[in-house]
Amino acid sequence: MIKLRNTVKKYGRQRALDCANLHIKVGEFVFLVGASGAGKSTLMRLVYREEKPSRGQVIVGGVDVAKMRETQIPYLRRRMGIVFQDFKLLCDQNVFDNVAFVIKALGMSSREIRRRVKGALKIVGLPDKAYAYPGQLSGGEQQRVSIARAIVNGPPLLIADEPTGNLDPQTSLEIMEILEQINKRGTTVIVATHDQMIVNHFKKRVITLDQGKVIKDINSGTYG
Amino acid sequence: MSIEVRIFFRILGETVKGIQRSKWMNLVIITTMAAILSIFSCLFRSSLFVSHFVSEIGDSIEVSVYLKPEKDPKALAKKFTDYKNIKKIKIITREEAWKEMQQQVDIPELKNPLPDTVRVKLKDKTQVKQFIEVVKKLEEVEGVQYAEQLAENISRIGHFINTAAIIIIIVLGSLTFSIINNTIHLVIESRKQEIEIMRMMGVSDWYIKAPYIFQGVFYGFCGAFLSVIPLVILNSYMYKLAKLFYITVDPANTQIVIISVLLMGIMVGAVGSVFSVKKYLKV
Repeated sequence: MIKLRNTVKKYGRQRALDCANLHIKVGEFVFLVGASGAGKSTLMRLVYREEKPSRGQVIVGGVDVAKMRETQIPYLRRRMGIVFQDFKLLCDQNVFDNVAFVIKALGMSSREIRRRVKGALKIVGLPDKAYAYPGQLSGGEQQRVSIARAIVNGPPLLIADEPTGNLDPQTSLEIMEILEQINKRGTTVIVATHDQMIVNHFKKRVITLDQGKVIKDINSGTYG
Repeated sequence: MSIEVRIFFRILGETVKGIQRSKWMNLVIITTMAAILSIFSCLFRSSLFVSHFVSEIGDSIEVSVYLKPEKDPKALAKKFTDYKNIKKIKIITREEAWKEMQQQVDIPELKNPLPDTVRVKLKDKTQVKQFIEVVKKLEEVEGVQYAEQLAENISRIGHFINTAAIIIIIVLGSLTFSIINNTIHLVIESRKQEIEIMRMMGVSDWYIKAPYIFQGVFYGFCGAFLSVIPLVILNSYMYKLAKLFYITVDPANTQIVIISVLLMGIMVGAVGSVFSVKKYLKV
């Protein structure tokens, strides 16, 4: 699903990612861990082509995204769902519209949109909140909406950058359980986090980054 | 319904949503646009009216070319037909002219002193001077008569109107362009987060950009549409003025101005917002 080959990303003189080599297979659940500034977010941004590598390859679904034309980027991102730490919901739109707006832009019929949004909200456990506004929801609920938006188009890959960073431990566990459920349905899930409790609890593949380098890659691993 | 049509309607829906969200700003932009486009349409209409007025007066002025004795006026008239700028040629023989004069004025029995005359009307009044210079050099021509001062004034007014119209169109065009450009910039700034999310979710470039362009077109069209109101009022005054001078008003000129101002509004709206989207909305 994702391959990094000798990937380097430099910001000026500083190497945010330093000769990273990785292979994440279809259907895997992977934790990317490391301290702040270790290169987790940079790696994520390379995968969804928000950044281009300074050197090396970033292959997603068989395509080297570094060589991808700008016009192709939306098509790449439609094949993945992205979840952010700060949820990034539109405050003036209700939950239904927040989840639906991407598939609306793809030209799906209203019936199909309703069906998909309903399904996505059911997966994240918010079937009754379709007409609530983000301001009326708790942090955990907002993150669930954000996950629903990420999966509504049925992407084969889900990327979550510190999805529990703004949440309390109990809510964090609930969010991670939702991501695990999504993974069990066949979606590859990559979670960048520095939450030890979460990583240790789920015992998935753990890739540890330090100063831009992959220093550890263990199946059923723990933090550190 | 095909996907493309559905997407088009959704883009229109996004445009409407964007306009609704702009609230009071819509009013400010549309009234400002309407005010500027009103100045444009009224000046444009006035310039067409003055041009028409000048042309009507100019139409009544002819160049009278007097021939030397024994020269053939028909031969001279034939020479004139080769000029591109000729609107009308009329030959008045010395006998006709004398007869006419005798009818108008009580003249004692005299030998006819008048020459044969060729009267010429030109299409472009600004070219009269050059025409007279050419005609004077012809060997069969005795003299040329023309209301020179009037011709010069007409030519000057014509030039002034054309120059003023071009300057005004450029200035007002730039002004409306700048207003649309800045408005769309503000709209983009206020929705930066939304644009960012759309980008991340893989919404296509043109789906994100098109509503802003349509919003600019909407402002341009509404401003232009409102600017027709003062134009209609001005038009009624022009009809009254034209009646006073016994000249006709061409209704097609009003239609030309209305169509021009609508096209200008839409075009400037579109170009202004495209420019803004290209500059400030990096997808």
